[in-house]
Amino acid sequence: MSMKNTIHFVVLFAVMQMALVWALYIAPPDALQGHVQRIFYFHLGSIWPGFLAFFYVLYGSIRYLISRDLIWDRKSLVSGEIGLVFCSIVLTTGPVWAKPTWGVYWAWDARLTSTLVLWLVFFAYVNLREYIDDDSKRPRISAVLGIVGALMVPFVYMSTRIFETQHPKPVVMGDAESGIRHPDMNIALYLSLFAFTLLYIYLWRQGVKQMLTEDRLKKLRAQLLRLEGH
Amino acid sequence: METSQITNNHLMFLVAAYSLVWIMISGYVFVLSRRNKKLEKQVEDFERRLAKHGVSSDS
Repeated sequence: MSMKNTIHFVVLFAVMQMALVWALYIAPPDALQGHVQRIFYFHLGSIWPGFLAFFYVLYGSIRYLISRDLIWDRKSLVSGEIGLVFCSIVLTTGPVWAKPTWGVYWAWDARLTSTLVLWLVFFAYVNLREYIDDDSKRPRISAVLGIVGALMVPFVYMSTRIFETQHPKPVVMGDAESGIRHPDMNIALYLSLFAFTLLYIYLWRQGVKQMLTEDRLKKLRAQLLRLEGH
Repeated sequence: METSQITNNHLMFLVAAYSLVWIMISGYVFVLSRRNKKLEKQVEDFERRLAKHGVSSDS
């Protein structure tokens, strides 16, 4: 592990620990929901970097379509994969939080449904490319799908404002009456947002490194085939 | 149902949610590390085979 990676990992570990301590211990329990509201910090903490990951897919896919440089396809793919993991966290912690607060695990409201659709689009983005045999078509189709998926993010975010939903209104950049009040609750939220953003960057760097190694392997394999003649 | 029992039930949901977060992150890290090991093994194998032909993998 390089020095840069080690420092990044140490900072990530420390911030994640602080986020956990604030979320589970220091932040006061919610007046209405009690301790179960603490799910919120990692629930929201993971979706913001998830959205960031999807926006990177948009950026990388556009760069790929303009330049046709495969590095942008690889960088976007890794970002989409991590975004999918973060989106999975939101889609599983949400229902666990919903049961004690709403009385049901799932409601087919605009926010939950659009998040599920977003997850499905990125699931397809990450997995369907394996079924495209044509090497030249694969990154192009992926880029288009990635752009379509990322363009859904603003709709997912705005869905609680456009429609009447069971899901609460946005806390970050939300209305005056929505959101959390206690300073320690805010610290817990921003620490978990920071921790998950660091986690995203760390995983993305590792993933891109792997993708580049895979590309190098393909070249080595071709070189070997020429030399060994089979 | 008593208040303490409701709180305990709710704490179970809190534990379940945080467990899910770590299971999913650990799962992805596990997938990444398994992929990494596989790649490292392949790189070593290819480099060894190329070296037999007197070719450096950097070339």
